[in-house]
Amino acid sequence: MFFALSLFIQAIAARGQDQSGGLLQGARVWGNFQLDAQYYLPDSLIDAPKVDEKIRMNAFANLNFSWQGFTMGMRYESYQNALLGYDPRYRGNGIPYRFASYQQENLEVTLGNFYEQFGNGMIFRSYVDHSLGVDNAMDGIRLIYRPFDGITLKGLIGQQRFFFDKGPGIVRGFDAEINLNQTFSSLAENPNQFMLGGSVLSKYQRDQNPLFNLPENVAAFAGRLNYLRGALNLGAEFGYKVNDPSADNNFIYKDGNALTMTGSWAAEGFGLIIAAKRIDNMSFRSDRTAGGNDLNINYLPPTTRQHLYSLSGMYPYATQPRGEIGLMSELTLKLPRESFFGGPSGATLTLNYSVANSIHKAPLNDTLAIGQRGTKGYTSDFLRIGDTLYFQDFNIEYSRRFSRNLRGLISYAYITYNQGVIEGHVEKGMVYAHIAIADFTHRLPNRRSLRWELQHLATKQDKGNWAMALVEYNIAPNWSFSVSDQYNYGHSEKDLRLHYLTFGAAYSRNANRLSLSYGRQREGIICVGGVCRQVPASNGFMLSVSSSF
Amino acid sequence: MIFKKINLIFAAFLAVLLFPACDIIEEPYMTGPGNGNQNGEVVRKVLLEEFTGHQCPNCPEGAQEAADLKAFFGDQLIIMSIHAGFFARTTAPHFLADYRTTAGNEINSYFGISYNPVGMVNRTEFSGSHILSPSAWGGAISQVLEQEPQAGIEITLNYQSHNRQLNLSIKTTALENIQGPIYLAAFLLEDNIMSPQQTNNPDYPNGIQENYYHKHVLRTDINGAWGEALSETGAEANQVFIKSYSITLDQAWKETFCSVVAFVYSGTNLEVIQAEQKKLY
Repeated sequence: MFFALSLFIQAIAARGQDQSGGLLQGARVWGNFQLDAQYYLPDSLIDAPKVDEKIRMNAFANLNFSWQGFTMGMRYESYQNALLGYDPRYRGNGIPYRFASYQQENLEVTLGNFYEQFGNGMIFRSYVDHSLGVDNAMDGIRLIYRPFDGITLKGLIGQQRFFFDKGPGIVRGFDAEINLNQTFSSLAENPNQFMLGGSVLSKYQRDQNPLFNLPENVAAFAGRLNYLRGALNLGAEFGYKVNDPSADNNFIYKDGNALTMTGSWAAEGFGLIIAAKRIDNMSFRSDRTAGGNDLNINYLPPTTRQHLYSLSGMYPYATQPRGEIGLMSELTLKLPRESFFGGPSGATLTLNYSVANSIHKAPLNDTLAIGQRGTKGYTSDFLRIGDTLYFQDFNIEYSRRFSRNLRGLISYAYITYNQGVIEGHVEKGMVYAHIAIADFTHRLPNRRSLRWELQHLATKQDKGNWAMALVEYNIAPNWSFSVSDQYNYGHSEKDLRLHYLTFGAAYSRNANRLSLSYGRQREGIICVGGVCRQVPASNGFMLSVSSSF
Repeated sequence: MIFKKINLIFAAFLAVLLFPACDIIEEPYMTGPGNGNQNGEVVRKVLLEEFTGHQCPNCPEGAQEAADLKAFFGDQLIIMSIHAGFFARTTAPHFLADYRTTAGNEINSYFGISYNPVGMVNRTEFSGSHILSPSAWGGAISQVLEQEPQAGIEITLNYQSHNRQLNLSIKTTALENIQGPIYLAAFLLEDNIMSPQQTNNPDYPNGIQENYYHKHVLRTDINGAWGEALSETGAEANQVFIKSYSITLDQAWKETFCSVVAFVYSGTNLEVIQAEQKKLY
């Protein structure tokens, strides 16, 4: 670390980027900083947990340095203590991420921490998402070798980050990818482009469980294919995992597998995306006893739309690694100018449908229940859909410019959400929700603008109907002020028909942003890419600072 | 030349990774229960503190894991179920029984338990955390039981049913030199209490099992949440400490299902040195 610091100092002495005549000519230093703090006020009406510390804070800063083919960096993190909704095991300060790497011709070597992904991540993805509190960074060695054009070979070995420690398992993997059109000159001009990839990954964890004979080494394999021709893009990946009894699958010894297929086609004014997937017992962690978002080795991509508005995002889908079969299609149409729906500037219409269901499962024999631990668990017909609907979402979105100074978006979504399965509480049933949204922005003189949102969610289940309104006044490029309210007016209990009123202001200048807000935050779930985090209700002041350099 | 060497090293590295290690396990997948030590010598015992609540639908699975481990380890495993926190709150109409205790709340709060079911094995850190999910309990217990006992505990009970008074004496004998302060904590547990429990078991479509048996429930502390010091400086081999206490059982507690759990722990890192349990009947 001292070596790293000395290099940083030397780089700074060279006065940053591309400074001629410095000791480290051409050296570059870059990074970013983010701080989120909240002052919590007691609020028994919304069932906000009591916060003894009153103030909590999450913060991190990345600092990177590169010079010629050499790069090194680190991330300092501080949790004083972690904000509500983040795992309390994020506690204190430390440098959980540091690395050094160099590249020489076609070989890249990384020592220390790194993020990596094989294919879609079906058997391996190491990544960080601060909004989710997910960081499964590897700590070890990674080699990337490109022996010929279009061929990339990756090998890695290490342990995964576990808060300020490391998980007990060792992860080893290899991935090979070939772009045929780049590798073979005879195909260089061919309009049909092919890319093939394959990976193997194995984890080791000592068996200390007295009840089971557990595999200490568990391997997984995946193969993928991508075909591209003009605007047509087809892709498929299949993954397979050998017996991996774990807390996720109730310690069954069945092999796991997953298949994803995607296709997209675009033409003038038209775009179509279709995706399908099937997952069976594909949870894969470097600690077989882990739960939540801890120590995931793989990532199972979602085939549902990620809604960005607060009410349409109230019931997000979380990938079910134990088993699901899903489909998504999205059609985007550009409506021409001067048509009835297109208006003077044209409009965009997006239709999206997604569904996720259970997979078929049958008992191994008459005496064993499905998924009974210490057995092979169950059998499953690959193409047979199970009886339980997990999630369904039909939504339509229409956006256009209505005049020179007014543009807007209106959308409708009908979401069917199996709360029992997705949130893990069997007593909760299906939620059927209709959501309507209007989002309009008025351009005002002197670089001002006024944006407003109206949202409504209608459901007879869960907490009933919600209405939401937001007004945001922007003074470009620096200031933004907003006030919003979410009102749970349809709650079955009169006393719980609550307002969640929030005031906010933000100031941005170049790469720095500071925002302050005050109000209530409703209990909910945040999901990014099918990975979710529960957020408890809270009330108080929230401060965010972000900066990059 | 140097680069060719790098290529060779890389090729060798990849060659190793190309042959992924993989163990394929054949039946039987589960192992049989151990026999424990039956020859009367002092054996290492381990304390599992299970944090649970009747409004925690995942907790029956944790309780089942604890029961399986108890069946496997027998008397070497002592389980104390602490009902505390959000999931242990009382709510009409089903969850009116209040199993929360002052001591349980304090322990829950001190160790920062924020979700259930989780547990602590001997209050020892495993992979950097005191707090373990149910599937990690077995491995942690096995690790602790590999250690030789450092102390022996004998509990002597005298229960008077007419006035429900329980007099007890706890004798702790150091089996080797123990450094640093050592504390003794004692608690009263009640087993087999029937009351509703939230569950994810699909046999109960409304998510509530009315006739659920709550096992080894912490009812009260006997000498405070953190017990009392046996020694602030440690103990020499064969040194004996005797502590006596007296409590009165609540009328609602069934004495036939009650037991006393006592454990000695380090005042330095809170790790449990030895534990013991004795039933009233």
